[in-house]
Amino acid sequence: MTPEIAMFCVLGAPVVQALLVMLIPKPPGLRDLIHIGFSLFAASCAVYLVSAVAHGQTGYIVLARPLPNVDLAFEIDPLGAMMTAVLTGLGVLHAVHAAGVARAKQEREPSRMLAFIALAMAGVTAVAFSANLFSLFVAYQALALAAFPLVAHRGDSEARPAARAFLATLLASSVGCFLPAIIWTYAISGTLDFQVGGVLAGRVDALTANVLLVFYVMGIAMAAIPPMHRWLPASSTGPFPALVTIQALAVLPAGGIGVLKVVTFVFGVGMAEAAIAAQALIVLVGVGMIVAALIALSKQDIRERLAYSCMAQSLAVVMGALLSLQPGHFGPAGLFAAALQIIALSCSAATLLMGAGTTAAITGRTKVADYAGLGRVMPWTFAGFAIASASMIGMPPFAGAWAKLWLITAAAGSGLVWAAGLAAGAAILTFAHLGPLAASALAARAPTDAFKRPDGASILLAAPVILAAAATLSLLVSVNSLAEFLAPIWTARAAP
Amino acid sequence: MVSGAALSVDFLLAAGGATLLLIGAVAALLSGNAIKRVGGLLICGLGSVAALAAMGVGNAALVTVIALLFVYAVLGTALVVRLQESYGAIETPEIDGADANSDGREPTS
Amino acid sequence: MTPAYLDLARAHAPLLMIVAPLLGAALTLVTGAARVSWVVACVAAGIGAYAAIDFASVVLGGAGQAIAGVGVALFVDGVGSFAAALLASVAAVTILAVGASLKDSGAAVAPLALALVLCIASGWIGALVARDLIAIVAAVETAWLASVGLVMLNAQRGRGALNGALRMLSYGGVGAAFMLLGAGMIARATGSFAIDALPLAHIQAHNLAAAGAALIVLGLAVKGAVAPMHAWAAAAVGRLPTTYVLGIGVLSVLGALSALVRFSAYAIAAPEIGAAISATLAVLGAASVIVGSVQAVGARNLLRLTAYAGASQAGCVLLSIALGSPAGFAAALMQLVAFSAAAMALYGGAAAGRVQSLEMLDGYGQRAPLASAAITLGALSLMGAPLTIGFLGRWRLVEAGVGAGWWWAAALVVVASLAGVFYGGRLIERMYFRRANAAYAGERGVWRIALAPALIVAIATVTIGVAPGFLLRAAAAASLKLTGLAS
Repeated sequence: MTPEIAMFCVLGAPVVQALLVMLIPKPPGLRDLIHIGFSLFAASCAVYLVSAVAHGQTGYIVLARPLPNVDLAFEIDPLGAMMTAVLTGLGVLHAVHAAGVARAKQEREPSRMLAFIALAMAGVTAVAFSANLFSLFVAYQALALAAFPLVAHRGDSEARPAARAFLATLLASSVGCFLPAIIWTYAISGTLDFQVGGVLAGRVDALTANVLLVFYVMGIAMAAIPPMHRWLPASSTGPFPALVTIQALAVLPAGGIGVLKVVTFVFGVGMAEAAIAAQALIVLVGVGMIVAALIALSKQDIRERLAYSCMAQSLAVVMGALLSLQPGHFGPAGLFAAALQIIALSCSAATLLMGAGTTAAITGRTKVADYAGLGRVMPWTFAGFAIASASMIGMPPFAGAWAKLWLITAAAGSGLVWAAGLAAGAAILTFAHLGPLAASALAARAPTDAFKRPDGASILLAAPVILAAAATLSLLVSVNSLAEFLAPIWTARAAP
Repeated sequence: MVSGAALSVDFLLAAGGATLLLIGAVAALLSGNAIKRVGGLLICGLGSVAALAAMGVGNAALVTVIALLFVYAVLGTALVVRLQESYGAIETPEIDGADANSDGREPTS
Repeated sequence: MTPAYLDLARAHAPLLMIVAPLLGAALTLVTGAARVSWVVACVAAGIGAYAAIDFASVVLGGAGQAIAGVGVALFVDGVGSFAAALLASVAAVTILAVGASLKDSGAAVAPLALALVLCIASGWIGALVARDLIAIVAAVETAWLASVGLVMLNAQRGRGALNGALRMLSYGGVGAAFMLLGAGMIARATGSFAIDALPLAHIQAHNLAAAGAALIVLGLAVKGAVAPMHAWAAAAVGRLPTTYVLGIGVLSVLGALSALVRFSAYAIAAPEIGAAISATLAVLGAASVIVGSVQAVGARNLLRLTAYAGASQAGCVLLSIALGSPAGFAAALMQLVAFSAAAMALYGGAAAGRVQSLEMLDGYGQRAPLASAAITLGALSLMGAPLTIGFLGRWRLVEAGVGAGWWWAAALVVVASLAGVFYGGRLIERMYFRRANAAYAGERGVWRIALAPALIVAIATVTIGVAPGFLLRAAAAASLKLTGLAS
């Protein structure tokens, strides 16, 4: 297998998967088998790609040439390969869990939901692999369109306006801010291809660089930067498997990956020209983290609470990426923090949302107050829930801790101690809205009232949660090798 | 000071034709009555004939314009008759009102 | 024997693309029966389209054959040959699609309606290859009066069409008078009615010539439904939920816009008046983008929404030609293709289920999946979604605009796309995520083979968007031969 074939497989498998799932909605067993099997296949191809990149191989595929100087092209780089491996790996667990939820909850039109989950995974993979700004834009739009049916899935009076807000925010910001920024970049540099060290490096004055940065960051609304975050709380009306896809595996991580790619390959690490806008945006993002965590505290519905909690985590990704634009030697640390944070966010958010999905499927409970004592009845699920909460908060030795540590290091190292303070404040507030919840679920007295499904969770519902929770521990052993693996993206290629 | 050459008969005729054209255009676009609209159209066309003639264009062009004018008149008249038959009115506000009403009505299944 | 005739036909292709539809129109009137006349019309339109495409491929293919002056009356240029091929193809697809609505206005009038569609095509193609300004106006009016007649015929089904016809008659008549006056003024200033004389003549009376050219631009803009002179379009197509709407909403508008592009190519090339015409086009284009977009966002009728979106797209065409550069004209030609594809997909998809108001779209995805797919692809193209031809056209405009330092034009394109997100997104949401209103739930889409063209065109919006090489080359070749092949 060559890297190119593996890339085709990772990008194409979910599309085939979606088609097959739509064509073979019955029997459910076969449908779920296809769904899980293809997810597993995509994940194994992604793992192969990581090893290929580690061995210095490259891959570049061109799907179309819609404009004379611009290709719809995909390329593997360490960042894209790593993110794809993490997301598709979690995608396998999610595929198992989604099959379980579809059975347990008798969700309407499960095959449509599974198909669009697969398409959204293809979208986020395309975002991660995109070789130029145009491909990133196409993949971004495709992902927004693929995720839209997931938000609108229930089709009721609550889901419809939410889906409309979701699509309107994502598409309007991408057309209104992201596209003009792309056009501007093209006008300045005459190319849209990503370059290590930054396309714009040495080509722009400070004013242009600052304005462009604001356009890019606001345009990539998937990262949930306020005031472009409205889609995220709106999406919480979707069914749980859709929420996992949107908030943990596809849309929110795609925003983080998009910002990271733009900062790394368009601006370049340590691009001092854009420092003012970067600082202003760090203030916005830092305050946004605090406010999002506070709003999460006020929400009583678990889906809304987790949506705002994920938003705070995603903003940490953006903060890390923006810190890399500060002058000094801590740019790479910011990028590394952002990359770790995406991994941590995906693992912990997937665990939390799958745990909440399992809980809703078994007990029918979605209110935070009703969670007390459930850990005694569903120990595996809530063990996973607690681990993921700890990771979100940033407690060692879970994934979130390393990301937070690097973030604070990068902030302090760049001289922005207040940014480190904001990140720490957000972590404390995250503890406030997740810590007591996990603790009361595990420690309080078991509820005595009737469950929706008294026979308990099937293995399909419980195993993915605990496995995803275990994944949050993975960074404990792999941080160093990950840093070495990702190093090429912030080290400019040796001059020829 | 305006020279005598500039104020020739041709110039005055052309200016008069253009004025006629504009008056006709206003009537054709803004009048509230279908017959007046068609009338305005004819005035507008005659204005252009006058202006063209004053500018000394060839006969072929004038014949073309007059033929066009004739077709517009025929089509306009036919349209007014059909409007009267269908709506029982040729006042455009009434016609618009009738259309707006039928837009709002739900079709019967 | 046969090759000799074919060679003769090829040598006179510009004439053939005008005459074939006209002959076809006469024959359809003679045949009488609806189905037979449809077949005759299809053949005539097919021959015209073949001739036009073949001719365009010869002219734009790089051979550079000098057939600029064809006889005394015709004068072929890059824009004319490109747009004539596009127009003839659109006419052929329209005739094919009209087969689905033959019985809608009564079988008796079907031959007449088909003849009128062919006359529209023939008239606009004539305007694209005519040399003399008066001949151009006469061709334009032939097409326009045929359009008015077509709308009037559809009043058999609903009287609302008559109101649209009245608007078309009054707006079009005023536009015609403007064009005639403009032609006279240009002739007075340059001493000739010949369109190719405009860039070459040493114009003495700059203001007179500029005013004349501006009047012709205005007259054509009225017919091309450029906002704010597009009130007729919404009224005429808004109550025409049959495939005949393609003849008005796409064929006629496309013809007018193409003629506008062609005339502007000559006017802008004239050094004395170029700047004034460019400014006129820029102002009109900007107004059309803004007014069209705002109206499309507020529209509650799918057909009218498409007309308004078309006005916004027409504004982009005008902005492109206002740039005056070959890149701008190439962008304009791409946008014409994008406009026709998107409008055909939307109108065709709407006609399939006789959809008028947006409420009728609720649950359309279930009732008429193919028609919904056509509407979806058309809407995506109007949004300027990447990998559709709509994106391509706008990207070319932005490229050309930014190259010339017209940042505001690029900003307007973004505004048009942003509005597209709102109205296009609304269409998609209604079709796929709402349950059908009880009143329409039983109505299923029309399943006739003749509706296939809309779907094919919709698929073409994507295929061309992904692999646009040949189209881009053709548009680039056309824009390099703006004012005649001889130059």
